[in-house]
Amino acid sequence: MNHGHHHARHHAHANVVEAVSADVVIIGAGVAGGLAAYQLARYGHSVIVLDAGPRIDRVEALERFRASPVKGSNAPYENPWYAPQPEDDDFDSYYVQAGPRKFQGLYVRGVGGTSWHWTGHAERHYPNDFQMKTAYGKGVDWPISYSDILPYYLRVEQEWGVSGDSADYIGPNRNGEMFPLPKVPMSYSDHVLGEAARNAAFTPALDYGPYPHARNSVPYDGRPQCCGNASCRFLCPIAAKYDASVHVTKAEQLGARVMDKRVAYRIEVGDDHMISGVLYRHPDGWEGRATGKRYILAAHAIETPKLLLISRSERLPKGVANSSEKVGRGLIALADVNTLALAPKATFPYRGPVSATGGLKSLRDGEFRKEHAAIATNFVNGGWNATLGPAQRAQTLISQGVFGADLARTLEEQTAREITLGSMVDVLPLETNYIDADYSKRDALGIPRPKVYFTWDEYTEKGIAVARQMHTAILRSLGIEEKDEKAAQVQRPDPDVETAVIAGTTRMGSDPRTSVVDSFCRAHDHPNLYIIGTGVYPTTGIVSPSMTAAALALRAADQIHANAGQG
Amino acid sequence: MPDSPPRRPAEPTRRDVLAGMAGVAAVAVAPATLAPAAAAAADAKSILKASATLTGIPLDLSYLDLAQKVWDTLAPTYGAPVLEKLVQAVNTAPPQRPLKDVLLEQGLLPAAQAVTSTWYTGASAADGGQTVLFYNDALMWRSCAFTKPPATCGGTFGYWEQAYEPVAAAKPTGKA
Repeated sequence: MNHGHHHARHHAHANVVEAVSADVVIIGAGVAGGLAAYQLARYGHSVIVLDAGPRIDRVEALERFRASPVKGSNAPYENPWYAPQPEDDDFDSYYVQAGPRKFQGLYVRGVGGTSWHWTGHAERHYPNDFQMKTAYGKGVDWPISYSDILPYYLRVEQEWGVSGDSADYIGPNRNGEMFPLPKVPMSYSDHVLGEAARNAAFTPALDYGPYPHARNSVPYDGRPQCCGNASCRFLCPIAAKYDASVHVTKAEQLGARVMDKRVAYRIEVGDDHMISGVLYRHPDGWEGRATGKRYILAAHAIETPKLLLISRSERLPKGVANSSEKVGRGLIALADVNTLALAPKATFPYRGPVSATGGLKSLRDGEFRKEHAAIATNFVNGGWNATLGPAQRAQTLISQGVFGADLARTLEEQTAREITLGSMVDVLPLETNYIDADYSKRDALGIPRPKVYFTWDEYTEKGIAVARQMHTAILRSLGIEEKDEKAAQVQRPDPDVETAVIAGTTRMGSDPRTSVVDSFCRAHDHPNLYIIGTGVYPTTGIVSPSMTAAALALRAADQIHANAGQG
Repeated sequence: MPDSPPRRPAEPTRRDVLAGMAGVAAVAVAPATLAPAAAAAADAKSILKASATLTGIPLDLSYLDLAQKVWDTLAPTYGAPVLEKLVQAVNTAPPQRPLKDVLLEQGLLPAAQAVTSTWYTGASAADGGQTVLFYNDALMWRSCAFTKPPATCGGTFGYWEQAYEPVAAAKPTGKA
C-alpha cells in the first residue's frame, strides 16, 4: 500500500477553487450512479457526477492485471493514494477491522466502480426476499414488493442487455417474460456437476440451470459478443460483459459532466434540512464544492455511510440522514462456503465466463428459510483459483521434485479435473454489524478510514452446515469417496466472508425511526437527498445484488424527475 | 485418473497461437538481443534444451527471449556458475535416471526448481513470484492446453459448453 503518506498537509485548510452546479449532483459513478445519471440526463436534467477515483482505462487495467502477482478482483485497478480501496490480499490496509470476522468486501473507487469486476450475473431478487419477516419470520420486510420493482427490472434488463433462456434459468418465476438476448450456454463442467447434483442423495432434490447474464451472447449496444476470456471476475478485456462505464459514457454523451478524482468529504445541510452542497478534495491539493437541487449518494455501502457519518455538525451531531442512528448499522455480507475437489474425469475448467455460468436452482428460496439461511451454489468455471490455479499446482508438483514430461502431464491431468462448488450463504441484518468512521485512523487526504465490525449468527451457521452436507452429497454422486478426501483431492477451507456483496448500511424502510431512506431511496431526514445502491437493502438474500440496485436507481431517478418542479 | 490416454498439448506452440507474429519476430531478432550474460554463460540453445527437459515442454527458438529473462532473473540469486552447471547436468543426464536424483546428487535441486517454476508460472522464483515476467507465455498454459491464460479470447462464443478436444483445438503447425 502506498497511501497514507502523500500530501495530507495540502488539505488542512485548502481553498474552494472549483464550484460546480447542476440540477442533480451524484456522488459515485458506479452501477447505480451511472444509470441514474444517464436516466436523469435523458429526462433533460443537468447532471454532475463526482467520483473519488480516476477514470479507468481498459487496456491499462489489463496490463496491470497481467503484471500483478496476486491477480485478485481488484488487481487490474489502481489503488489511488487519495481514494484508497481494500486490497485483494490485505483487508487491513484500508479497513479498520473491529469484529470477530475479517470483513473482506471488495470495491473499486473509480469511474465505473466495482462493476468493472462484478460477476455479470443479472439476477432478480425473489419475491420473498422482499418480505423475509412476513414469509419466514426472519430479518425484516422491505417497504416495497417484487411487483413494485418488476417494471424496473425489465428496464434494466434492456439497458444492460441481459442474456438468458426464458425456459431454463436461475431466478424467480418470470411468467413467460423473455430475456432481451439469447442465453449464455452453461459450461461442460456445469453439466457434469449439475447431473451429479441431480443424482445426489440429498433432500430436497437438487436441480441446476444457467444464470441470466449481463454479458453479450450476441453483439448488443455497440459491445461485442463474449468469447470466453474467462476473466470476468477481474476484468472483461473486450467489454462483452456490461459494466457501468457503459451508462456513464451514455450520460456524458447526453451532457452529464463526469468529474473524477473528486473525493467528497462533507455533505452540507441547510437550516431547512435540505442538502445545500457537497465539498470535495482533489489529489492536487485543492478543494471544490458541488451544488444542486437534488443530490444522489451512490458511493456503495461503505463509502456512502462513511460520508454521511463524517458530515456531522453541531446541528447534526450524528451525521447526515442519521436521526434514526441506522446509518452504517446492519452491514451485510454473505458467507462463502467452498469445496474444492478433483473430479474423477476431466471437467475442463478455466474456460468460459468465470465465476459461473451455471449453478443450483435449489436452496435459494423456500420454507427452509424459516430454519436456515438460503444458499446460492455456483459451479465455478475457474477451477481452484481462476487466475493462479495452474501456477499453484505447478509449484506444488515442482516442490515435490516432479520434472519433465511427468510434470507437464500431471499438471494438465490434475488441473483438467479441478472443480469448485462455491456456495454463498445468506446473512441476516444484525444490529451488531456496522461500518463507522475511525477518526483515529485517516487516509492520505485526512479522511477517516472505515471501521468495520462483522459477524454472522446461528441462522447462517445452519445454512453453512446444510451447504457442507450438500457439497458432500454432490461429491459422492460424482464418485469422489471419503478416501479421496484424505488424499488431498478434496479441500474444504473454513467458511469465509464473501468479498462480492456489501449491503445494508443505509437501510430502506417506512419508519424514519428505524430506517435511513424511504421506499424511493429518499432520505427520511432530507427531502432532496437520495441514497442508492445496495446499502439500502434491509435484507440481502443470496442473489447477485447489482440488478436490484440498478432497478432502484432507475426508480429513484423517475421520482426525482416526477418531482423536479417541487422545490 | 482419466479414462482416455494422456493428452499432450499438440505440438505447436501455445505461445505461437497467443503471440502470433510476435513469436516470429522474437526468432528474427533473438541473436542480436541475447545479452552477453546468457550468451557467454552458456550456449543459448543449450539453455533452451535444458529448460525443455526440466519442464517437459518442447521449446523452439521463439523462446530465446524468455530464456534470457529466466536466466537474467535467477542468475543474481543462484549464480551464473550454478545455472551453467545445471544446464550441463540436465543436458547430460542419463535418460533412464530420474532427473530429480541427478539434481539432488549434484546439489542442483533448488536451482532446477527455481528455473522450472519460473518457466511454468511466468513469475520469478527468486522473489517468491512477486515479479511477473511473462504471464501469458508461462508454460502452465501449454501444459494445460485445454485452456489459455485468463483475459485472452478463448474461441467462438459458447466453446466452453463442449468437452475439450485436442485435435480440433490445436492443429500442428510443424513449427515446434
